[in-house]
Amino acid sequence: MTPRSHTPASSPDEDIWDAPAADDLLRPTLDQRHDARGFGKAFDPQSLWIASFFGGAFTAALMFAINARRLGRPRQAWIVGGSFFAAGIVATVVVVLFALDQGALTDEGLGDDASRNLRGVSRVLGIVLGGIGFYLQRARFRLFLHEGNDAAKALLPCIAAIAASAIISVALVFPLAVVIAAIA
Amino acid sequence: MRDHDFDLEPGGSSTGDLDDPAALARERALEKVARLLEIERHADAERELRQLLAVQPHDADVLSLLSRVELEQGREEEAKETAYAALAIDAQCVDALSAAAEAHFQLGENSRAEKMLIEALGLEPMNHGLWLDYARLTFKAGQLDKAKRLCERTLAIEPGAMGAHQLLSLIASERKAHREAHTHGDLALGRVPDAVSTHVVKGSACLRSGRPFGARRHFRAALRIDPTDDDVREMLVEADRCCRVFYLPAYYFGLVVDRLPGGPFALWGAFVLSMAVLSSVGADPRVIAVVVVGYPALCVYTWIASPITRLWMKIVPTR
Repeated sequence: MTPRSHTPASSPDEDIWDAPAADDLLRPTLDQRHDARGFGKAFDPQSLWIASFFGGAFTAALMFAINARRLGRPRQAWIVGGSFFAAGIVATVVVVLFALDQGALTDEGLGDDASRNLRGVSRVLGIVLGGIGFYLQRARFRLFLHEGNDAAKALLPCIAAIAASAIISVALVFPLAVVIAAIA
Repeated sequence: MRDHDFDLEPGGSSTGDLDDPAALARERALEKVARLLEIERHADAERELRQLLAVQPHDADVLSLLSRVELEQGREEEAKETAYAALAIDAQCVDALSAAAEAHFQLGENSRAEKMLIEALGLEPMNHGLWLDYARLTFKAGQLDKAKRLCERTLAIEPGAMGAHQLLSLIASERKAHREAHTHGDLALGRVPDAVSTHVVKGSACLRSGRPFGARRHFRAALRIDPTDDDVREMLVEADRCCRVFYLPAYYFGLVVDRLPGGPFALWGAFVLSMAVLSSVGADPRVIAVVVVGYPALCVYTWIASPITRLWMKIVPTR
């Protein structure tokens, strides 16, 4: 129980700050985002960087969504994860269109140069999105740790997300290349 | 939010005159409750409080105290309901507001805890304990600037508030302002050298600033004061792990990497970049070989340092 203070209201000590109503320290600054509820087995968002480098934008989207749910942010998982996914699709379409423009499309899909371009773009985008994801989850993860929780290992979600994004990329790139080639 | 000393001063809403036999009986019961709480017999204290409430069910002060006792026993939901029951009787009962804030805090409802604390501080702006509770809440929520200002406000009211120095030390540690962290840790230690929390805070500051041996010494001191504290024992084991010869380089390496933006990823990026630069400038193959072998060797060492040291600590445990 808080110790009671019996300083008279007219104490000169009260002059050291404003009246309570005008005191900016008494302005609420916490909202529901600061509530420590809904935590699962979250992992350190630093893992997003490395996983996204290897897996690209789709891995960033999946890893972010998995961790956001574990950090008690399911809405953010859908919105930001979805945005990352959309960025991945846009980047893939741009690379395929660029390959078409350069005449790098072969009968078997993307040529070597176009494939290299796609990997490069995917890595750069992965690092950028991984960084954004890390920035967005950093504070929430700190709260997670301050609640006495231990960080989970990120290895399995990393491997699963990279494998899933490889499948997504293949499922997306080749039909896209074939469709664009057919149109062209 | 903190270790609570139970305030059993007379002066509640239904205390009345001490010549009144009922009021006298209430004061005696509260004194008994205080003695029970001192020896941590929370269940007995709760029984006494419930007996009091059977006679005077609308005593907001007793309900607030009951809420605290329920919190001590880890029954946060019940404690919250009891605190709200006290507030339904007296909406301006600071003890009830404080107990409700504590219950919300422990339930992770930080925004509601803040609301309660602000209400309580509006009623008692000179109560340094409430300011410190608010500082702890904002620290936990990650608002370090505000937490620091709240600690300074606490110290302005009560310069001897050890908890404020402890929290300032933790804030400075998190910001990697190690000198400031040690200053506040020393101030707290100077005021209360025989408290577990001061040694824990000082030990944490040492561990974060590259002084694992100092940290181990402080955690040992804390454990000597309270040998039953399992959290402190865990901290001592952690500090001892950092002091072991095989793990010590990994500990210092971790401190350096922590300071890099991006952590280990930045180091890995530097490795990739240096490889690209060395290859493009046609560097001596021996230099390239050192980098090629050195980085993976460093990675392997940092991966195995912790499990091997843990194994070693099973053979030679922490004392």
